[in-house]
Amino acid sequence: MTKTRLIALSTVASLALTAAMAPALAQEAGTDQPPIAGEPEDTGQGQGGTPSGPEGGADEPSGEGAGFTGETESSIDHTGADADPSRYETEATTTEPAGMGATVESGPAAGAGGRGPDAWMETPDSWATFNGDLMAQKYSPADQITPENVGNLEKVWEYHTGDVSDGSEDIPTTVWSATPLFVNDTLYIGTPFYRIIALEPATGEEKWVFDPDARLEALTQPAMKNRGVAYWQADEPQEGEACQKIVYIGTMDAKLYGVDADTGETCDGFGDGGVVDVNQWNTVNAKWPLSLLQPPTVYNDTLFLGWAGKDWTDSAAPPGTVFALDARSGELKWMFHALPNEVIERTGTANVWASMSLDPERGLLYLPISSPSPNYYGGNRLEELPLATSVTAVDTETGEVAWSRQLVHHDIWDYDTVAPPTLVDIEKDGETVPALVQTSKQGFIYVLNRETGEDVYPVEERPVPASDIEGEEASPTQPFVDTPAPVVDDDWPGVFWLADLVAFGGCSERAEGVRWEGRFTPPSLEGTIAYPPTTGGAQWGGGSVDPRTGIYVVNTNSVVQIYTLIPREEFQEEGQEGETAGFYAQGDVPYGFQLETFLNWAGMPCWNPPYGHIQAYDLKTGERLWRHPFGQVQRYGFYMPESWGSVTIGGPVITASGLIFIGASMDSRVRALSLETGEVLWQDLVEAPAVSLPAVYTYQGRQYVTFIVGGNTILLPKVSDQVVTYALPQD
Amino acid sequence: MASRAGSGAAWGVWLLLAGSIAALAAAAFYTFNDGNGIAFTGGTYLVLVSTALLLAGAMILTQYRDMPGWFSGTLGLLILLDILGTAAAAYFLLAWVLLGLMGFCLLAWLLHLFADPARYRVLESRAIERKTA
Repeated sequence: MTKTRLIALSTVASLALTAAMAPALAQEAGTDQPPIAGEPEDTGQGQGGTPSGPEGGADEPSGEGAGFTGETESSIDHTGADADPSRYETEATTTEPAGMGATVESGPAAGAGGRGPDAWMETPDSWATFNGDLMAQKYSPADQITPENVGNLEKVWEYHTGDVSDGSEDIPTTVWSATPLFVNDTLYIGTPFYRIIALEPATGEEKWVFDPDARLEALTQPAMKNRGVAYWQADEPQEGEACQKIVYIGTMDAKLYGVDADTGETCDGFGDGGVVDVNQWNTVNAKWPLSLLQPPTVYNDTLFLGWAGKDWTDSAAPPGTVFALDARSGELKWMFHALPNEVIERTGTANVWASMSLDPERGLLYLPISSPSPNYYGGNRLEELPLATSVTAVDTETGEVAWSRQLVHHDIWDYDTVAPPTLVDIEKDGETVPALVQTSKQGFIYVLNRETGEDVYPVEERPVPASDIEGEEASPTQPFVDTPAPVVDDDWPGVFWLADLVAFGGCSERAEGVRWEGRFTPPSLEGTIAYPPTTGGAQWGGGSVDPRTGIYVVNTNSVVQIYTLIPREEFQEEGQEGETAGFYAQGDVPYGFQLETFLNWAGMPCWNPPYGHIQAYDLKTGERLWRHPFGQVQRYGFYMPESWGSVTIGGPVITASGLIFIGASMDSRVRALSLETGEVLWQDLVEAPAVSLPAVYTYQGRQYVTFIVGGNTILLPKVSDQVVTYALPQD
Repeated sequence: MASRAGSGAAWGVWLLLAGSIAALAAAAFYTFNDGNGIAFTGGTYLVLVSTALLLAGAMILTQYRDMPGWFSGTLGLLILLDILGTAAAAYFLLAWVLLGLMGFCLLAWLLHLFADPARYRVLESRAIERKTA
């Protein structure tokens, strides 16, 4: 055989090899998919162990103006507010104690509303709210897709919004965690550029787009964030009349837009020409706008609205408020303040930045309230702040506190309560218990009676380590839960031999030099291992429940971070403010702060995997049914072993057929798992981590699952604008 | 073994060349085809380079039959390390096609080692070199 012939033969062979493997390559790359169609010092005594009602420490409000006596810094326009404030000057508000140091201001629309479920929200085929329903069960009665046929699931359409940025140009990077809503025979999507897009659910074709021309600046967050839109409709919509159905989207600069759900035209009757400037109520410590990243909760013609800020830069920050607005007019019904008036010159936040849940029958709104500012030092706020880092139930009509449970006393770990509590009736000891299941960053799952706030499974006050920082007084006890089992183990996972080897012993050396005395070890000057740290535990996605069986599923993280306080005189801010790592000034308190994820020089986690799990519990008994590493870590494109799991952000959805749909992992996969065993039954590659909740709905007799694929820089520097919908093949 | 020297086709080398061409194509596909979960990452750039080096090594084997023994031996060892390293990278990239091609290249390398005419072969060319010396 001549050399020429051999060269020809090898070329042909290589082409043949490539051709033979092309389908596999294409499948991995997703190129065989259909064409594309288109975010008190608390002493710990007597708190947390029992619920506290309105009588438990009411403070007298000032009763003047906005109800605060704190110094106002709003003369400097950090807020971006541009609405005419005089429009609201005539609106009288009255301030009343709401219980536990909280206050409520009643606005001009106070008294309107009512109780009882909204009929339009009750249709089983829809996915009408951020969590699918007001009770945050994240449960769909759809049963067309089953464990047996889920392997046949196919992508039916894909849509790209165009609203994406990797931060390389003028617009900050996008973090898109929206839940799509399916209601009114339309799929509604909010984008991180704060546009609303209405899609035809079966094909992904655009129906209309609303663009508010929002400011695309990272005013309070390091990224452009959005977690979707909210939908409201009148009990009896009038045919041919505009704005009988409204879709709402909030912006980073505190604007809340309301547009007609059928046309995408702004609703002039809502606020000022279709927009409510929520920043008009940002009158205390107004250092930045009240970012509206989480869509409102809608109930009985009322919008319940929290906000997001940044509690790592300042000590005195805007204090936590929840707004109740009239869904038609945008007028204020009431405004709830979580912090006592006495402290707001020195602290702030304790806000509700995550989704809320609501019991439509009882008319109770459940608030996951975050930690006060600054995050990691509490010497400036040694007073009791009973609603900070709590789950609090308030009356939907008045905003008054029905009960509250503080989950962390004197929070100096940034253990914001971030997930909407899941409301479900469970059968326990022969009785039906109206339960509330609250996941947490600190890794406990609190199961409480949602009517009274009392324990369903015991919550015990236990001693915790003291702070060795001058000026700091950590709470001597914290609430602990043994049942259900915490989502992370009591001890930190220990040094990972491989990472230590790569670091030539650097991981173990560092671990020996920092403080660790178990859960709630306070931040220190030498550095403290935080496990779980601010990343959780469980994150804002929370858990989902099958209300028929009481099986509760939650995805979780096992991350180790190091908290180091730095005396003010030594503190030098280095780099940008971030969310998970970096240096934080913490305003004018005596200490700055450094937050580090415990990595070696090569970027490998220094702690033992797995880094994330998905786990299932039986709420009837509190028993953990199964727990598996979930997802895969991806670094430089390399996937680490499945047994290592992945850090997860986002949440699961359960269907009546016994499936769990979830994105959430670093490896850019969306998956379907067996509810019974946790086994992965189906997965597909998407363009970035799907850090959101999927929507499961039925349209024209066909069940669909839609994922928003936006990425999250906490997980991976990978972003996307993909909306992808799956269904079973049609016969 | 010496009786086969210089006779017949050097199938191992040519199959290695074919495999390395396909591997380079696959690596390029993984590297530049956005949406596969690994495109434009350090890992795919790494396998792009390693498969290019593999191809270069295979071409040297096909072009230069009468290499010094030390050179051909070193080259053969480097090719083996390249195959194994690329296979490991492909495994962790979940790049199954590339992993399969590395398996193919490994078989070709073994074929070359044990079945190719001596002048193509690493070990026997070294032996011939010793004899002629």
